[in-house]
Amino acid sequence: MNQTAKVLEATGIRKHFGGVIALSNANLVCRSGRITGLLGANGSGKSTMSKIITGVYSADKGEIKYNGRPVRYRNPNEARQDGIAMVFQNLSLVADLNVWQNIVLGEEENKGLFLDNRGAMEHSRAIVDQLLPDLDIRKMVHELNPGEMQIVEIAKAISENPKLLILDEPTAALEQAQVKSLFDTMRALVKKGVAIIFTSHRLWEVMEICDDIVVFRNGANVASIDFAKDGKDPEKIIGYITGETKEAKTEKKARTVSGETVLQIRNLNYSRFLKDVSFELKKGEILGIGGLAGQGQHELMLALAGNYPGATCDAKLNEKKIRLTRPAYAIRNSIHLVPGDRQLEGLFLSHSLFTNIIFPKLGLSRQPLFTPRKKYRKECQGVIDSLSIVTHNMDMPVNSLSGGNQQKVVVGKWLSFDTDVLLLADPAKGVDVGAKRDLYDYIVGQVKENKMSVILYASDNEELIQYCDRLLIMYEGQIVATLEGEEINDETIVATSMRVR
Amino acid sequence: MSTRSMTNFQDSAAYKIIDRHKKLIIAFLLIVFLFVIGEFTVETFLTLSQVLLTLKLASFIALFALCQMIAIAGGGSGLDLSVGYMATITAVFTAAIMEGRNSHLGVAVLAALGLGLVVGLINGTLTAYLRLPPLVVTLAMANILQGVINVYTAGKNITGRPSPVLQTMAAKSTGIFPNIVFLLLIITPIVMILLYKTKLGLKLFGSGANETAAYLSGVNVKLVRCTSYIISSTLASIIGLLLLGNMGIAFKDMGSNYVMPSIAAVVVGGVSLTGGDGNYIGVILGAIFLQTLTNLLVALGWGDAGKWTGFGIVLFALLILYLSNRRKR
Repeated sequence: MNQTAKVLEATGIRKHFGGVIALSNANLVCRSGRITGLLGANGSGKSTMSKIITGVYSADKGEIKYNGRPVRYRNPNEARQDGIAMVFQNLSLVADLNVWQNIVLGEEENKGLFLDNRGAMEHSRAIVDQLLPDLDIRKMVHELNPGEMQIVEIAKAISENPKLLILDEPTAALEQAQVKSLFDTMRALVKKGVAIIFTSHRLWEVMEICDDIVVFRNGANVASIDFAKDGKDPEKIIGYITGETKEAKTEKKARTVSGETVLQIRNLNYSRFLKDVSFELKKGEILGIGGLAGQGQHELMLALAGNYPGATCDAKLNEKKIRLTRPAYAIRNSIHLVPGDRQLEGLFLSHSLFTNIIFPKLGLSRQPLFTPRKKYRKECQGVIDSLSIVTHNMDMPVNSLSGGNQQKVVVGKWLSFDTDVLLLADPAKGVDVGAKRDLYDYIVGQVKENKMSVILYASDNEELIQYCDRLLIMYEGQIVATLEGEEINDETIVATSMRVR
Repeated sequence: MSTRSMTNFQDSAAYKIIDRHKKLIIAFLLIVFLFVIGEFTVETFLTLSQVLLTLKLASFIALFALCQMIAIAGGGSGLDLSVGYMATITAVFTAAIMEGRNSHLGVAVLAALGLGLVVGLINGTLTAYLRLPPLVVTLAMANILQGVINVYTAGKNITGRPSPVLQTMAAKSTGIFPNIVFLLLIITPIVMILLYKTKLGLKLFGSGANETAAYLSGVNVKLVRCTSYIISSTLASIIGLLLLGNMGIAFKDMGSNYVMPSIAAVVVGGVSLTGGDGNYIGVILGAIFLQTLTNLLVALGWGDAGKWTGFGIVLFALLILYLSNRRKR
């Protein structure tokens, strides 16, 4: 086999953030003129690896060799000067500059006393033409759509003539045609001897464009596959991503879900995030929402809670038509949201537990001007007791509580309401094990007594597997699969999330 | 040993009370500090009549600061720079309406309420619904109001006088106590109850503390913020009546000098400028502090320039103090 020169070789990379280990022992080799794919589930360490190579993070342990020479960049600028360019997931463009200004930003050249604008425009034009010929390079970046912005971001990286190009999820925002021209550009670059690292959640893309792949799981690389030598077998790759052997999970207790439909959603559309989402929620059911991160799950939860006035759908609650264009409407219809980011969306951190817990009542029209203090304080104490929130008293500010107890307060806001549908967005994020169990025990208890139905979105598949009766898999704003019973296992979830099956 | 006694102290009830009212205590100590300096450097600084005069003048600052506090509490970088001009325009127009007669007081009050509502509605709509920056909107409104005043007063003397009832309320004293101080004593508990015990107040502070959380809890944040500007302007308009009552005549710049002190009093009173909290008692203490500072600087012969410089320095110092406090957390 003709092996080209190793451009990059990373060995034994280790990195932890606080107590969380992002990479335990990761290795990666990139060769000149080849496209290497990085694959792995959410949080397996793909992005961390890219960021360590370019100097965004520094590794705790391990060695990186670039063109045979050990390197340790302190920031992405140093890496860029050495010929390593990276396209980040979150865009780094300046919205108030136009396309070509963004492309040459930081690389401007002078012609005499002034900037060489003509030269810069020609240079930008040449690069953009390969990727997206229709794009007017004098357009302001804030006028572009997300796909076009991503293209400009890639053009910016290419304009620096890198030796190693790292593309982290570049296709997530792109349309099919744009992906095709990106792939053409990538192939042209590779012909010139550039090495490319490519990450994508879309397995078919990886199989189409990459020469070899490296699979990450729990912060270590578990497989390296050379497509030319080993062939392309999606089932095998899925196996590597999930890990073949799984110890038996705690037996899930079968629940009887009645046939009665509580909530019926037809054709929910919102901007580019949600496309024709339709589903039914049965009484006493825990319906899971899964899939890769950022496929519209977060937006779905917020849309159901009425956060988007621009969202359209036919919604029926207990056979009655309802509107979901304001949070107040959802609340009055007993649809209650426990948002995913409790500090940003759920809590008044400097205010007391009491204020936080009674706050949703204030939006109700039947709430009188003066809050019935005694009654509310009694209710509040009831909430603290039934969720076993650990605190001195209800007048303590919420920011004095631990993460788990803060999360309980967010759930506690709805306890004195008659909840029909509880929307739980990643309720166990940043919550310790004990608080997590308290929370789920309480919720499962309520569901069991047929008091409410739950829609649960969790970024951790284990939680979905353990608690859900049915599981909807989302992909690019659509529901692409519905899993039931035995189908709810890690392998099927990952396979359907990546659209292999 | 020492660390243990320290933690014991931190758990004690006394410490908790001190900790919770830290900002009130700072404001109070600042006032005492000024009086001590005044007593040593200026003769007859600490006399009863001097203190009562300070309280009277501070009451007006405290009232304007109430407008400011309500606009700030709703969050979204809320601020109302038009309060002083609002008061002036009301004073100028109602002086002409009343012309010193009690019988026309009712009409004057209605006119004041109407003016305040309209200006507040414009401020509120532009900031809350069209999402324009409050700083610019209320500054522009201040300029527009000043423009209207200038046109109205151009080339003629402002005529009219306040009704005697207003003069009694704002300028006269009962015994030795200025009536305006009684008025503030009546208003304060009402304000405290409205802000801290009712749905309105809790919604206002909630919208300021976390807009998203308030919205997702079913509160109409835009409406709350718009309402806060309407309240601010309407209150400022009513204060215009009192100001007229105190001065006896209306003149062009009678209210505009209160804008800066109203913000300063809010800061000294420990209200967070990002919204979401604030204690009106602290704001009143802030107003008293500023008035005392003015008195001291004037007594020391520093005059108007000294007053504004002093205000500026105090503002910087306290903002740094409070911000570094927050950063430590």
